[in-house]
Amino acid sequence: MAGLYIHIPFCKTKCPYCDFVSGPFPVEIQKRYVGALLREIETTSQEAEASCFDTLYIGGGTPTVLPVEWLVSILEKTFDLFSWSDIHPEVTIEANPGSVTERGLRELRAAGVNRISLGVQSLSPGGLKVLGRSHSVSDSLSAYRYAREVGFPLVSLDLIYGLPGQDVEGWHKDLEGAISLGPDHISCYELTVEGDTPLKRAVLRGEVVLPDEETVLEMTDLTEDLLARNGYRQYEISNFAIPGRECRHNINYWENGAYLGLGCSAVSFLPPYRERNIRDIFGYIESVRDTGRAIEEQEVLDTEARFRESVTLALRLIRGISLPEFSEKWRYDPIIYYGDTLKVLLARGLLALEDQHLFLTREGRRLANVVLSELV
Amino acid sequence: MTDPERIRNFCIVAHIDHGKSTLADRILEITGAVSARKMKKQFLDQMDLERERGITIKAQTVRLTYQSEGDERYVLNLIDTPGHVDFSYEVSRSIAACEGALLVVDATQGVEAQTLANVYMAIENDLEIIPVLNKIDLPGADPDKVAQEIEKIIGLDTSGAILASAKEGIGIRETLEAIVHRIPAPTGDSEAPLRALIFDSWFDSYQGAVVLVKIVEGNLRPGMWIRMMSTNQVYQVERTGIFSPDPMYIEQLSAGEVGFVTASIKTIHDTRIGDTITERDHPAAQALPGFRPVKPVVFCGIYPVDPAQYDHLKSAIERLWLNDPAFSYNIESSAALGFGFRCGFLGLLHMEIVKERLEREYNLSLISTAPSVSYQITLTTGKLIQIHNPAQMPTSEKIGQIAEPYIQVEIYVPKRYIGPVMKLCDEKRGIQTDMYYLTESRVVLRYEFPFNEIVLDFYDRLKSVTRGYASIDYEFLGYRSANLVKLDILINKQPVDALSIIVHRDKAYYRGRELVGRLHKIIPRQMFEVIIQASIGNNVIARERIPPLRKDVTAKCYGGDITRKRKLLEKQKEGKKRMKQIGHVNIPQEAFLDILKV
Ligand SMILES: Nc1nc2c(ncn2[C@@H]2O[C@H](COP(=O)(O)OP(=O)(O)OP(=O)(O)O)[C@@H](O)[C@H]2O)c(=O)[nH]1
Ligand code: SF4
Ligand SMILES: [Mg+2]
Repeated sequence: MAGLYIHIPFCKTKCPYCDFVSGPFPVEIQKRYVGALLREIETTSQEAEASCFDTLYIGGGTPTVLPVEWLVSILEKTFDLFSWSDIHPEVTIEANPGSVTERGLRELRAAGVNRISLGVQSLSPGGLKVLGRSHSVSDSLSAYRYAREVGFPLVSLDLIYGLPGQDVEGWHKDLEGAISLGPDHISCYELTVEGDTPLKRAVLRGEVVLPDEETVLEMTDLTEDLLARNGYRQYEISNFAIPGRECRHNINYWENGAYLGLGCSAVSFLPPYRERNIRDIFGYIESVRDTGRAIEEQEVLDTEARFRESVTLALRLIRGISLPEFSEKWRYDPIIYYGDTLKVLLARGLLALEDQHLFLTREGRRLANVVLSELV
Repeated sequence: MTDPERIRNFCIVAHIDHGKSTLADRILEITGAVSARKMKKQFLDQMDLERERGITIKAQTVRLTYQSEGDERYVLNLIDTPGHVDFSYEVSRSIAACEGALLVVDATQGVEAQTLANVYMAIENDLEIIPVLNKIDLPGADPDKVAQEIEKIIGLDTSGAILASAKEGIGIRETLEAIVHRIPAPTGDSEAPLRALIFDSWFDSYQGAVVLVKIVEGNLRPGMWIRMMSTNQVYQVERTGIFSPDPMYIEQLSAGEVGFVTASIKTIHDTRIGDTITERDHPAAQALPGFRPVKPVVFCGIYPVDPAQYDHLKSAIERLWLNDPAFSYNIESSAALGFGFRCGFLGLLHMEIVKERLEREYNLSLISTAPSVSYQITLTTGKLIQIHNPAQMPTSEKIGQIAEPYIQVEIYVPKRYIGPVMKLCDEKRGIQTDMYYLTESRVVLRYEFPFNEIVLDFYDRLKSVTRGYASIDYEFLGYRSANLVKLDILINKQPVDALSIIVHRDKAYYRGRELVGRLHKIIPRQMFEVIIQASIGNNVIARERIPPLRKDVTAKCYGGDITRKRKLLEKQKEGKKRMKQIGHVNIPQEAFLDILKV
C-alpha cells in the first residue's frame, strides 16, 4: 500500500482553534503555489522512489477554495505522471461547506474524485459560531446534497465535539443530525486546544470555558454507542464508517505504510526516511522553483524505531495489532519485546489481547497517550 | 627558575559582583595572557554553571608575566576568588597561597558583608592589601565616600587606593604597578626541605589527582619522590606545571611559586586540601598549618533517580569532594529513595551547586531532599543524639528534649529598608540583639534566628524586600531547646520518609496544610487515585485527593502528525522516567525539594 497526499494550504478564513499550515491568501499567491505544486509533481514523479500508488488525498487547508480548474489540472497531472495500482483508486478531497458549488463538485467528480470529506464540524449555529467557522448549517446541508447529486459514492463528515458551552444533549443533536443525512463515514474529533492559537489564549484568559472532563467523557461514550447503533463501525480512535467504506488512505498511515506528500509542510514516509517539506508557503514556492523539491527535514528511523512507532500507530486502530503479522514483519514479538510494561497495561485493563490481536480497550482509548507513551 | 624577588602572588577578593572577575579579565589582557581573539567576559569563570549564573564558584589560579613601567619582568600569580558567602572557604584557601590581595569594592555600593569577611581573612594572614575602588564609570559611583567607609569600618589606609573601572579598563596599569611595588615577594628558602601547601585539587581520569600547590620552601620536580604529610603516602612526581591560563608543563616549581603537580594519585583519599607535601628523602620537620576545617550547616539527602546508579553517584561524590572538600557526605538509606548520601553544605547555594555539578560533570540524574539543619535530641534515657535528617527522628515518646541550632545574622542594609527587613525577621522568629549605623545611610541589624527558619528562602526574600541592597554574614551560636515536632507526609497511606520535615509546633498545622496543598499541585494525575496526607504522630492534620486520570488522548494523528506526536509521546515517557516511583505513584523530583518552600 502506498498513498499520495497533496496539501493545499489555503482557507477562506483562519479558524481560531486551527494550528495547521493554512490560511487565507490572495489569489495571486494561490496561483504561484499551484504552479510550484505542478512542478513538484513533475520532479517527484520522475524519481525512483515514486512507486505505484493506491490512494490519493487532497487535503488542507481547504482545497476547494481553489478555482476548480486548478484542482482539475492538479488531478490530471497526478494521474498522468504517477502510476496507479487500480484504474479507480480511492481519491479523496477535503472540502468546507461554504466553499463548494454544485458545478465545482460535478467537475471534481468527473475528474476522478470519488470520496469527499466535508468539514461540517457542527450542525448547530452556536457550535459553528464558537468554532469561528465561516459557513452556516444550511451550507452544510446543501453541500451534502450536492455531493450526493453529482454522484460521490463516498461522503464523509467531520464533526468536532467538546465545544465551549456544549453539553451532552447538544452533541447528541449534532450526531443525530449527521446520522440522519446518511453519510458513509463520520470523523468525530474532540476539540483540542493547540499550541499558540486564539482559542488557547482565550482559554488561558478564562474567556472561554471548555466542558469538564466528565462531560467530554460522556460525549465520547455517546459517540461510540450511538454511531455503533446506527451501523457505523468505529475503526480508529476518531473514525467511524459503514463497514467496507473506511478511508483506505488514512488506514495506510496507521499501518505505517509508505506515502508521498506534496506541497508545503507535507510529509513523506518512504521507509526508512521520513521527510517534511518546507512549511512556509513562500519558502516552498521558492525552493521548488529553484530545485524542483522542497524537503526541509529528514529523519531516518532504524528498524527498531519503526517497529515501536508502528505499534503506537496501529494501536489507534480498533482492531489493533495482529501479533502474527507484526512478528513476521518486524522480527520482534511485541509480547516478548515489551514484557512487563505490557503486562501492567493488560492487567490494568487498558489493553486487551484476543484472537492474537492486541488492542486498546474502551478505557484504554480514553487514555491512549498514557498507554502509547509506555510503548513508544 | 624564577628569581623569587620577581614573583608576586596575589588574590582578588570582594563582595559578590563587585567586579573581581572583570578586573581579572583586564589584567589577563594587559599582560597578554589571553589573546583578544580568545578573550571573553569573566574569562576565568570557566564552568558552565559559573557562566550561566554570572558568578564565580571556584577560585582560579593563573600565572602571568608583567613588564613593569620600570621595565622589569615580573611573574604574577593571580587568584580570582568567589564573592558569595557560601564559597568563602575558597577564599581562605586562596589567601594562604598569596602575599597580597586586591580588595575590590564597588564604588556605587560600598563596603558589604563579604567585603568585611574576606578582608579580615586577608588581614589575619598578614597579606598586603591594595584597595581598588571599582565601577567608577557608573554615575552612582562615589569613590571618596567609599574610601572613607573603608578607612572607618576596616581601618585600612586608603591613600593608595586605586580608582578603577574594570569594565572600561581604567586604573589597570596602576593596579599592576601597585602589585609589583607594594606586595612583598615570597620569602621561602629554595634550599630548605620541601614544604608545599595543597590548596586545591581535582580528579582527572588520565592523570589521577591534580593538586595545586604553593611551594613555601624547597622545590618540586618530576621524578622526585614525595610524601603527603598527613597520610604518609608516597608518590613519584610525574609532572609539574602552571596555568597561563592553559596548562603548561615546567621543569620545576620552587619556593614562592604556585603550580600544579601530578603523581598518578588514584586513591582519592590520599590527597587532602590543606595537606603539606614534602620530599620523601629530605622531609621537612613540620607540616604547614593547613586550613581550619569548615562545618557544614545545611543538610540534604542526595539520591540517584535510578537506584542502580548508586555506585556511580558514590564515585562522583568522592571525586567532586576532591575539588570541594567544603561539603560532607555520609551514606544513608531511605525507604522511599533507596541508597544515597546525606550531604552537608555551607549554605543553600553551595548545596544547589554541588548537586548541579554532580549531575552535569558526572552525568547523573539526582533527587535532593528538602534541606534541613541538624538537631540535638536528648532521649528519655538521657542519651544525646544528633540528627541531620528528619527521617531519623525518634518517636515522640522517646524524646526528652529537642534543641535546634541558632545563628547570629548581621544584615547590612541601607537605612530606608530597615522597616521591611525587620518585618521579615519577625516572621522568621528572629530576635533583634543590636542595630548600629555603619555610615550615615547604612545600618547593621543583628539578629538571632533559629537556623531552620532562614535555611530556605530567607536570603531570597531579603534580597527582594531590599531590592538587592542587603548583604548578610552569619555565625553559629549553638543549640537552644525548642518545641519541635516531626511532620510526616503520607502518600496513599504510606509515609514517605524523604518528605518528612521538622517544624515548630506552632507552625505545624499551617505547614502541613501548605505542604499537602503544594504536593497536590506538583503531583500529576495518575492512573490511580492518590491521597496525600500530612500527619504528626498518628494525627492526620491535612488531606488532599488527586483523582485518577481518565482522559488523555490525541484526537488526530495523520501522516503529517506522526513525527510530532511520537515526539510528544517520547517526552511524556521521559517525564515519567524522571519521576520517582513510590508504590504506584510517580512523584516529580521537585516535590522533594519544593517541600520547604512554603
Ligand atoms: N559598570 C561597570 N560594571 C562592572 C565593572 N566591573 C564589573 N562590572 C559588572 O559587574 C558585574 C559583576 O562582575 P564580576 O566581575 O562577575 O564580579 P565578581 O566580583 O567576579 O562576582 P563573583 O565572582 O560572583 O563574586 C558584571 O555584570 C560586570 O560586567 C565596572 O568597572 N563598571
Ligand atoms: S478551515 Fe480547517 S484548515 Fe482552514 S483554518 Fe479552519 S480548521 Fe484550519
Ligand atoms: Mg567572579
